[in-house]
Amino acid sequence: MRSPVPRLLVVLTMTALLAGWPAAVRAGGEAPCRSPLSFPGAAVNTAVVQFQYSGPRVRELSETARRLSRMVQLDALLSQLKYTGIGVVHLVRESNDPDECDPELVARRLLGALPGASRQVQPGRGLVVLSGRLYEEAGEVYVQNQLRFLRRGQPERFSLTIPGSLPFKLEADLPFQALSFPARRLTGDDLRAIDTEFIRSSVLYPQPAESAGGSPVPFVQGVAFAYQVVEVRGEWMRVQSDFTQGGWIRARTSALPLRKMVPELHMVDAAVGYLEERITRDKAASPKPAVRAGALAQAALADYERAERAVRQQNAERAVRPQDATRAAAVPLAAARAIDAVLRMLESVPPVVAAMETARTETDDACRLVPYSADLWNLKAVAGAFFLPRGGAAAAVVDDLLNAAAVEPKNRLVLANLEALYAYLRAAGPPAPFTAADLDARIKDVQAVRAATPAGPERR
Amino acid sequence: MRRSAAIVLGPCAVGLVAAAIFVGAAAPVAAQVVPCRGLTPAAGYKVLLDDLVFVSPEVGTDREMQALLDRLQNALHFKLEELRYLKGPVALEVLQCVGRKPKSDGDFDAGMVDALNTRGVVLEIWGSLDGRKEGTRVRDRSAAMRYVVVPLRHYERGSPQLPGGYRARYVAASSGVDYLQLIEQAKDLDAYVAMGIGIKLLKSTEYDRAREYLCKADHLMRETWGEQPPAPEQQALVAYVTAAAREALKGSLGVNSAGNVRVVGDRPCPKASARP
Repeated sequence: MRSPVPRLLVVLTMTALLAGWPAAVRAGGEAPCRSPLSFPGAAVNTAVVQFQYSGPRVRELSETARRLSRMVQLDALLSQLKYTGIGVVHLVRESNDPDECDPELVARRLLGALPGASRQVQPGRGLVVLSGRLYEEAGEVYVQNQLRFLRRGQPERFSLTIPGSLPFKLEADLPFQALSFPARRLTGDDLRAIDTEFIRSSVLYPQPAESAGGSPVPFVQGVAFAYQVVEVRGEWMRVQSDFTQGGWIRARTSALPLRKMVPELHMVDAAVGYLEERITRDKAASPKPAVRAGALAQAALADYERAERAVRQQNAERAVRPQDATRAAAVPLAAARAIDAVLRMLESVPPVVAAMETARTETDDACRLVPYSADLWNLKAVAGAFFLPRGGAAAAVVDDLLNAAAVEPKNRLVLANLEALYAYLRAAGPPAPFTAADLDARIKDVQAVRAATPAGPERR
Repeated sequence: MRRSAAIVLGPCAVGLVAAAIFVGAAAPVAAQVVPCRGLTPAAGYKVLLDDLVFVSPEVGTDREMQALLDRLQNALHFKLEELRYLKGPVALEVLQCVGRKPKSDGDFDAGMVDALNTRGVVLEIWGSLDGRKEGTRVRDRSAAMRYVVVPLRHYERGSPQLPGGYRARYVAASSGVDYLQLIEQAKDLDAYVAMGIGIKLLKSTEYDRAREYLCKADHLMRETWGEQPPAPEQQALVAYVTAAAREALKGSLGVNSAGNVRVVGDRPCPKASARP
C-alpha cells in the first residue's frame, strides 16, 4: 500500500512536466487504474491495462504476469515512436477488485464519463485500450487480449463522394472498434525469456550502451510516473523525467519474440496509426503528404496478418484444426482488412482506382470472414459503388447494402446509402435488372423507413 | 427418457476427427443432477460446465479431472469471448457446476429447464472422456459430450425435431491432441451458445440484437456442418435458426410497416459466398 504523500508529489511534478511538453509528444508512464493518466499533447494515447487473472479462483497475478503487461507497454511505446504524438501508459491494479482495472471503466475514466483520471483524453484525440485476461497453469500462461480504439466524442465515420457526371455521397462506419483476440499460449521458455528481457529492459544507462553500466528503473508499485522520450537510437530510448535523473533504456523487444507470441500488438500499432491519420486529416484542409501515419498503420496491419497466420500454422503443427484458428481470429482479421480498406479509400481525394480496387477486395474478404456485420457489408458497398460510373455491377452493390440492412434493418447509415444509391441509379438511367418504376418504388419505401427510424443511440 | 439427437461435426481434418453417435454413448455411472451452486439470478447469460468423467480410471485421476475442468472453464471463457464483442454486446460467463452430473437430457424436465432459462443459462455441457493407456501415454482420446441448449428446450418443449439436447463425439486423430483441445475446439459449441443467446433476445423482443446473434449462429452452423447439413437434427437446427432470424427481422422492421418489409423483404442472414 502506498502512502498518499508520494502520490501527491508525483501528480504535482507530473502536471508540471505534462504542461511543458511540446506538440510532438512521445511519452510513457505508469499509473493506477483508478486514476489513469493520458498525455494531453498526444494525438493518440494508449492505455495498456495490467492483465486480469481469469480462472475459477481469484489469484494474485504472478510476477511474470505483471512483468508481461509492462513489457507490452514498452513494446507499444517503442513501436509507436514512429508516430508524431503518442503516449503509452501502463495502468496497474492496486487490489484484487475485478472492477478496478475493468477496461470499460478505465476507458470511461479517461474519457471523462467517470471521475478519477488525473488527465483525460482531449476531445477529438484518440484512445487505444489494450486489456487482457490471463490464466496460469502448470508453468504456462494463456493470454487473451481485447482492444478498443476510438476518438473521444467522434464516431469512426467517413464519407466518400463517388466521382462521375452524377456524383453522390455514401457514408460508412468503421466496422469493428472493439476486438477480442484468440487466446495465446506462452510456454515456460517464453515466460523465462520475458522475465530475462524485462530485467534487462528495466535499467537506466548513462549512455546508449550496456557496457556503460546502469541502475534499475525505480518502479514503485502503485506510484504514478511519466517520462518523455527525447531521443531514439535503434532500440535505445533516452527518457527524461523528474522521477529519476533520466537516461537511456534499451527496449530490446526485437530480441523478444513478443509479437510472434502476441500478434495483436501489431493491431495496437495499427489502431494508433489509423487514429493519428484520421486526426491529422480532420485538422488539415487538405491531405497531408509524405509518410503518413496511415501508411505506417497499413504496414502494421500487414504485419498482424502475417503474425496471425504464423500462429495458425504453428497451431496446425500442434495437431489443431487450422480452420478453427481461422475462426478464432475471424473478426480481428476482418477488422484488419476493414481498417486497411478505409485507409485506402481516404488516401487521396478523389480516390485512385488502384486503391479502391484493393479496398473492394479487402472488404470482400472481410465479409467472407464475418458475414454478420452490417457495417462491413456497408463498407463493401461503398467500395463497390466507386466503380458504378465505370460500369461496375449495380446489382452487386445493391445486394451488399441489402445484406447490411438485413442484419441491421434500422441502421440509418445503411438506409441513407441505399436511398442515395437508388437515386443515383434512377438518375443515371436504370441498369438491368432495375427499372425506373422499380427504383421509384424502392426510393419511396426507403424514405418511409428512414422517416420512421429514430436516430437513437449508437449501438457500439 | 427422451433420446437425444446426434450432431455430426464438420469434415474431418488434420489432427482431429469428429464422429457422430446416434446411440449409446457410455453414460457416467452414479449420475445425479444436483443444483449448480455457482448459478445465481445475476444478470447475463451463462454456460454451465458440469462434471466430466473418465470412463476408465486408468485414463486419469480425479485430481487430473479437476485440473482439466478448471482449464476447460477458462478455455471456454476465452473461446466464447468473441460473442461478447458483437455490436450488441452481452454479458456471458462460464460457470463450473461441481458435482452436477446429468444422466441424459431426459433429466432436463420442464421445471428444471424453466429454472435454468429464468437464470439466463443458454447452454449446459457435460460428458465423458475415454482413451487407451499405453505406458505413461494416453492414446485414442475421445470425448462424448452432451449439450442442452436451454432456451431451445424451453421454448420448443415437446418438439421431436428440436429436442434441445444434443450429443457429439470428438475423437483425436493423434496423441498430440489432449482432452482440453478436443473439447475446446468443438465447433458446434459456439453455434449453440450464439443460438441460445439469440433465442433469449428474440423472446425478450430485443429484435435487433437477436437478429445479430441468430445470424452469427446461422453462419457458425453453416461453417460447421456445411450448406447442406447431413443429419436431420442439424437440418432442423439450421431451419429453426433461419426462421428465428426471420422472425427477428420482422420484429425489428415492425409488422405494420409494409414499407419497412419491402426494403429488405424476407431476406435471410447474409452468407459468406464463395469467391466468383
